[in-house]
Amino acid sequence: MNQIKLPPTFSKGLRAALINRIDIATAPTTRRRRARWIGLAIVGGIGLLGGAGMATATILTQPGGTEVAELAPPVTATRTGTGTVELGNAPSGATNVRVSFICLSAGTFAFPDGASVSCSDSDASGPVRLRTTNYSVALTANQHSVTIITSPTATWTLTATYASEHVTPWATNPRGDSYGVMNENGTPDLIAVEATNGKEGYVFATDLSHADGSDQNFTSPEQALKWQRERQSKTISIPVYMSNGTTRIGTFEIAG
Amino acid sequence: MDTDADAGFELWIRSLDGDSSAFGELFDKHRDRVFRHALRLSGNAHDAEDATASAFLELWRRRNHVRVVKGSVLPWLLVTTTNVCRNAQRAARRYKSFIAALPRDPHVLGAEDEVVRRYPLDSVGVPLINALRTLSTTDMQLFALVYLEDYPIADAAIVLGLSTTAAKTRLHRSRVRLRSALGGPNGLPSLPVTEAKGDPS
Repeated sequence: MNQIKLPPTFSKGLRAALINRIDIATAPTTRRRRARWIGLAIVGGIGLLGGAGMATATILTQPGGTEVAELAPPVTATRTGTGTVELGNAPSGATNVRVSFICLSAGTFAFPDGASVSCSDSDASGPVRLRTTNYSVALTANQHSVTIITSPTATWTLTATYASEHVTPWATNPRGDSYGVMNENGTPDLIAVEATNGKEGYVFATDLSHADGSDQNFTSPEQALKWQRERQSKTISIPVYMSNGTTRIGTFEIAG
Repeated sequence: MDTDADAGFELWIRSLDGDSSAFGELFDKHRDRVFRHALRLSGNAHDAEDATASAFLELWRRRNHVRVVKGSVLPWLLVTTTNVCRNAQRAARRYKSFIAALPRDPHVLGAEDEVVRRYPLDSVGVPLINALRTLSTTDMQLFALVYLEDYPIADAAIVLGLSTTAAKTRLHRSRVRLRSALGGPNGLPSLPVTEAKGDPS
């Protein structure tokens, strides 16, 4: 049996730094219950923003967002335990299966590609909106059904449909800055956010990376720790602009 | 899923909800296995530490894309580790400042020497590492999961988004290719394959 372990000092330092990174990303001022979208590249964008307050509905209409066309009538089914919902043959042009999943009892529910949803007792009896998981999975060859794997007594319902999805290009303002939402292609110059006053606008990617420390070029552990200490429990505000990158309309906050 | 997998799955679900202590426990659970995998592929401890850090950072960054196999994120972590070792420079660039700030242990022996000295059967060896680099990314990931980490082909296929049949074809192709890269039919040691149980489809 192989007993080689991650060296202890490195392991301890890495563990602490990972936890710190997650705590920063999910700090209370930026944490907000959001509609759960699993499996869409665009969700990575929200994650990169540290769970910041971006409105999901906006993402779908922003440049760089995912354009979706449903290609077939939705199929709805309710099951207890592991079950498969047949969707019929995929129409031509279908790239994804979009699923709206609702847990009707507590349990952990897994999609065939490994994505999963967990519902507690309180989730299962709460408002439907909060126990709905919207899920989009890339269609595999000859796929014509969706299977949910769960324990024999867990109850669930889902609505699924074939859809075509593609990521739209970012737009460009007269100054030449790209703008829109972060997606699988990377980050535009101006990133769509919701300002603290509720208005939808854009922050400069450079402002954001400066505020969250990702542009820091530390050369020693001491430097990094000093930066972390100085940042701790401070909230950094960065300006939110219209898509022209010059008209300021509000402020976006990142918790330290 | 067994109890251990259930516990790991629970930690992963809590991590997805932003519970950093759950992520810390997942790190504790998988760090050594990830490190050993990185060590075998990279051949030195410093690079293996970097790869381990990058793999866990990727686990968090790409948390909404992670494929969980039988309740475990470990296969995804191992695939990512393989990927990071293959693209070491790119991974190092992305997390340069984060990794540079981590404290290091003194390494007296070269880690590869250490692996070879203590566990001769576990070390991949430089010739095989170099031969593995001739495979495509997916083939290398698949080969590493099945032959180095003993995952059933069906499980490895799930995490890589392949059908079991396609995975078997790729593995066969990889063996032929590696055999050639290693200089003939006797170059590649006999590697047992853990076959999937039940219907893989």
